[in-house]
Amino acid sequence: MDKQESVDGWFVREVLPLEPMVMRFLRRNWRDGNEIDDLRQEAYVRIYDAAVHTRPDSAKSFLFQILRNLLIDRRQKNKVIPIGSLSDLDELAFASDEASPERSVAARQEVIRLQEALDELSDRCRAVVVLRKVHCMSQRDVARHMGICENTVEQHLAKGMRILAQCVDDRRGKLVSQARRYLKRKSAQSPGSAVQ
Amino acid sequence: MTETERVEKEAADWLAREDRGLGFRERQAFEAWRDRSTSHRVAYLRLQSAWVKADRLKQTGEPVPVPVKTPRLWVAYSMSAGAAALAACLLFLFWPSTKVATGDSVISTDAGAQRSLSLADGTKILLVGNTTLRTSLSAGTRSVSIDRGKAYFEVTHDERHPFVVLAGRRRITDIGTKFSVSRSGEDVEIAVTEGRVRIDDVKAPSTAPVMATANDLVIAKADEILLSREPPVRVLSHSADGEAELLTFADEPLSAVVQELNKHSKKKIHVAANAGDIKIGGSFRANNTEGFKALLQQGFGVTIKEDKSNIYISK
Repeated sequence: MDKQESVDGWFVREVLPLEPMVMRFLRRNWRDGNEIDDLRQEAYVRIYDAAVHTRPDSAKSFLFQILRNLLIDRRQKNKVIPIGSLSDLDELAFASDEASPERSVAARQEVIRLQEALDELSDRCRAVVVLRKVHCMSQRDVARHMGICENTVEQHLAKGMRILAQCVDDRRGKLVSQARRYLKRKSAQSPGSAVQ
Repeated sequence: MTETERVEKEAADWLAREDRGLGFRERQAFEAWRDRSTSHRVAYLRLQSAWVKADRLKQTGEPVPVPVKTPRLWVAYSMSAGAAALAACLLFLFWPSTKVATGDSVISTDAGAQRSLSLADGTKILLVGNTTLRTSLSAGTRSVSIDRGKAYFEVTHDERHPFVVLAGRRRITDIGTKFSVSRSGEDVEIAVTEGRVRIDDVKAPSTAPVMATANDLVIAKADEILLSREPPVRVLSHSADGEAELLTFADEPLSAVVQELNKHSKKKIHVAANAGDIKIGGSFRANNTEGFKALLQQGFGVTIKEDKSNIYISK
C-alpha cells in the first residue's frame, strides 16, 4: 500500500505533466479521434502498473515507448493501415525529448490556461467552480448562494473537474506553436510539401 | 459511453464527493473503488491533479466575477427585496402613520398605494400596494397575519410578548429586528435588515426553525425553505486606513452594480442596454475601476471603450 501511494506521487509528478505531449503525439498518429482518450488511459494504466514493480529512470522515454507499442498493438489488432511510418513515430518521440515547456510554464500562464478552461464550462458549472475554488466556499455554501441543491453542486463540480482536466491539454497555446515548429521542420526536409 | 468515459465519470463523481467531504463508510467505498483497478486509480489521480492545480485561480489576486446568466426567476426577484427593505426603513421616517387600535382589524392597501401603521408599543408597519393585513393585538399577544402583498416591520422588541407575523404556513417571530415579509399565495419571502427573526413552519412543527439574521433573505415555497446569506448590495468594510470600501454583489445585474460603482468612480461608467442584464457576483474595491474593467472583459467578453471622463460598456 505504501509502495502504491508513493507510485501515486510519482505518477502525478512525473507522468501527468506529460499529458499535453501525449495528446499531441496521439492526435498526430491515430486517425480515430474517439479512441485517443482510451489510448491515453491505457498508456497510463500500463506505465502505472510497470512502476509498481520498477520505477523507470525516465518517465518520459518510458511513456513514449509504451505509447509506441500500444499503437503498434492496436494497429495489428484492428488491421488498419498505419498512417505514419515507424520512423515518423521515432521522430516525434525524439521531438518530444526537447526541453519540455509544460514544466516551465509560468504560474501566470497556468492561470490564463485555467481561465480559458473555465470558458469551456457552462455558466452554471463555471459559477459553481469559481465559487468553490476562488471564493473558497464549501459545497453547501455554494448551494445556498446559488439557490440550487447540494447534489446539483456536486454534479456541476464533477463535470467541471473533467473539463478542467481535459483542458490541461491546451491546443490553442503552446501546442499549436509546437505543431507549427514541427511542421516547419518537416517542410524544410521535404520542400515539396508546402505548409502555410 | 466508452469504458474510459465511464471510468472518468465515476472518478469525477468520487472526486466531487471527496471535495464535499466523505463520511467513514463513503471513504471505505471510495477506496474499494479506487483499488479495484489501475484504470480507476489513474483516472482519479489525473482529475485530482488538475483539480488541485485549479487552486492557482485564487492567485489572480483579483476576485473573479461569477456570471450567472440564468438565475431562477424567483431568486432574482427576491434579491432585490433586501435593497427594497432598506429603502422602506428610510420611508418610515417620513410617512404619516395611522395608529392601530388593540383588538382585531383588517387593513388593506390598493395597488400603488402605501400605508404606514404604528402600534401602541411603538412598532411600525409599512404596507406597500395591494396588501392585506389582519392584526390581532391585545395586552398578551402581538400578531399580524399577511394575506397577500408585502409589509415592512420595525418591531419594538418585547421578550415576554414576541411579535409574530403569520404568512401562510410560515410563522415569523421577531427577536429584536427590522424585516420585511411578502406573500404571494404560498410563496413567502422574508428579508431581514436588522437583528434576527425565527421562522417556523406551522404545518410541520417538528422541523427545525430557520434563524435569519441581518442581511439574510429567506424564501419559502410550499415545504421548501431557502436561506441566502449573501446580501444584494452591501458595503462590507469601511477600513480606517483609507482603503476603499469593498462592495459585495450577489447575482446583481451589471446595471445595478455600475450604479453603485459610479458613486465612487472618478470616471462615469455607462452600460449599453444589451449588457445591463449580465448578472454579476463577487467583491470589488469601490475605487478599483481599472480592475473591474479588466474582470469584465476577461469574464464576460464585453467591449469597453473610454475617454477622459467616461467608460462605455457594451456587448
